[in-house]
Amino acid sequence: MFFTFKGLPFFPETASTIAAHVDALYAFLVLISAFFSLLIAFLVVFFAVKYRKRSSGELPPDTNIAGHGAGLILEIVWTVIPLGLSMIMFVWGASIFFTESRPPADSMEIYVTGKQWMWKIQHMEGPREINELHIPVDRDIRLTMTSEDVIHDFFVPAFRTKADVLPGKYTTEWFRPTKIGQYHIFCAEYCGTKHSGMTGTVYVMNQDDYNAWLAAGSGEGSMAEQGQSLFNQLGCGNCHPSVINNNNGRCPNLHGLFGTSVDIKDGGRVRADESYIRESILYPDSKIVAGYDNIMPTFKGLISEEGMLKLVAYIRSLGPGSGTPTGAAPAAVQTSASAPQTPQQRRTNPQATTTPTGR
Amino acid sequence: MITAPPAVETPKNYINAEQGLKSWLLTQDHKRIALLYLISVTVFFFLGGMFAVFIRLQLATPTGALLDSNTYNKVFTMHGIIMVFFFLIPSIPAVLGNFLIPLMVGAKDLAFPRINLLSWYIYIAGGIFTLWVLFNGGVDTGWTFYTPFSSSYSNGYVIAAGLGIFINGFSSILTGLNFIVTIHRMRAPGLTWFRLPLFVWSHYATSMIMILGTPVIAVTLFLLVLERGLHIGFFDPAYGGDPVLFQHLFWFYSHPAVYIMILP
Repeated sequence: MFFTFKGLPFFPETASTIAAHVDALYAFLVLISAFFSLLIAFLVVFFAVKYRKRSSGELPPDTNIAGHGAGLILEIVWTVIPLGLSMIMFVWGASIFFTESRPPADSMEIYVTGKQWMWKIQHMEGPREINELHIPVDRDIRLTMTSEDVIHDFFVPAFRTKADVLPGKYTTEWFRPTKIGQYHIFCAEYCGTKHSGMTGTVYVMNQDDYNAWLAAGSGEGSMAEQGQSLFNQLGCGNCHPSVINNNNGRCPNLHGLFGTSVDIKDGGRVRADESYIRESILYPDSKIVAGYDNIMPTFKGLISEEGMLKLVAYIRSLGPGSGTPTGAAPAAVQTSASAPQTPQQRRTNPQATTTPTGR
Repeated sequence: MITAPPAVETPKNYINAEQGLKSWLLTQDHKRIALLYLISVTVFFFLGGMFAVFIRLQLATPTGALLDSNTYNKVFTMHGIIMVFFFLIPSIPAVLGNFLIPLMVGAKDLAFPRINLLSWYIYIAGGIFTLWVLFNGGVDTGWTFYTPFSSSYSNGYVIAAGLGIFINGFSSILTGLNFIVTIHRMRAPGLTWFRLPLFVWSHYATSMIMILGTPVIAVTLFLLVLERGLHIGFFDPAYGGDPVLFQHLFWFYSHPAVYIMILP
């Protein structure tokens, strides 16, 4: 479970593709720190002895404070070397940061909701878990996360990844597990009484076991299907057309929307991603689509965060957009070739929206 | 004949120049104020240290048998608040800076001796506020007061703790002001900037940070107090706010604060 040194737990296992990189950077930082700490400690003692007062009344030797000659060279050397080392740390760290903040386009999507004091996980195919995350090995996994109350943080030490989970918005974290096994989940942002007890387990399985686990799942239908029933329940279909291409002109057509660029009233464009969907449901007057009126009511207080994620999954299933493969089988990825379209364009080019996705 | 040798008069120094408690509590002597700070900072250090001992005892066993969860959360929060705001930030500037800067620049005292004393009293007032919070059960938000936990979910005395730190911030600001004016205007003739000791330079930089940065955390904590009391909605998404805004505002001071701690 842990990399042990003489029986003592030293480092967690490295179980993701990024883990070894993080450990390498960490080792570099520790070595640099150790080197300079020892050097400075040695110099303190050495100079304290060398320049001690040997007799009372002795004056310190004259120091050249003018800053030229050998003194200047010394000052330059001990400025440039640490500058170079810091720049190496910066570039190395930034490169790992960029890797960690850019999930691959075909990552498998899983939704996480954190609340005091538990983790609720929803798979796209429908199964839900609490404080457990079952995932297949050797697949890119992207977690889209939100909180129901305070700030949490989803931390898997074995993957060396963590990301804050915020209320009111979606944050993401991605990893690619490399080793089958069980790994700890911790909450890494103080969130109240049972913060230290907000733990869980990641179960990394081979693809077949994962398919079997999914198939034995909740029986409630996939997240998109649950989202569809919620969509109907809340009456969204009264305005937003439920038939492809039947646009009554009152509300934007949600078919083919997800992942495209949307023109906003008063100028500007946004990408129709998870956050945009969520914001439009809770604060419909914040980003009104160009060409439409401010008539959508808010659903704040009527939908839980988990319900919100189901609606997002349903709307995602209606569209081209940046679809993600479901976990059940490693499907071939269809990249969407449709250009971003405005609602007006979609009204006049109905055939362009009928892109069923096998994702 | 042996006569008694003439009594050696002890030279007058800042310790024996005046006697009595009032002469200490109403002093304007920078060395005496430095000692007043030394004593109060040390008291807070031991208080914060006591909380650290509780943390260590609690974590010594896997089950945490000493304190229940809520109490432990309050313990590490109070440890952080006391250590950061009442020990680390004031200690070296207020103790060593007050004592040594006039000596090092060749001045008789700091530029504003009465403001120097006021700084100490403001520090004590902030400290008393925080002690009041402590005796009434403490605050459990962590010393970083992240929202929305601190604005909407915590059951501790967040407003009082925030106000205690707010008051304490003015002590920092006035001390920084004093140092900057002293270093600019009261250097002995011939003591140019590049002849100043490194200690004075580092306190000059520290004072800049104190003056520019402390108002930001003061305002941030004040916004937190308003949020918690009036639910205005700066930081809580339930009211349309952004919790990350609090983080940005808080750390805009708190990163420079560690330079206040380390430069001197």
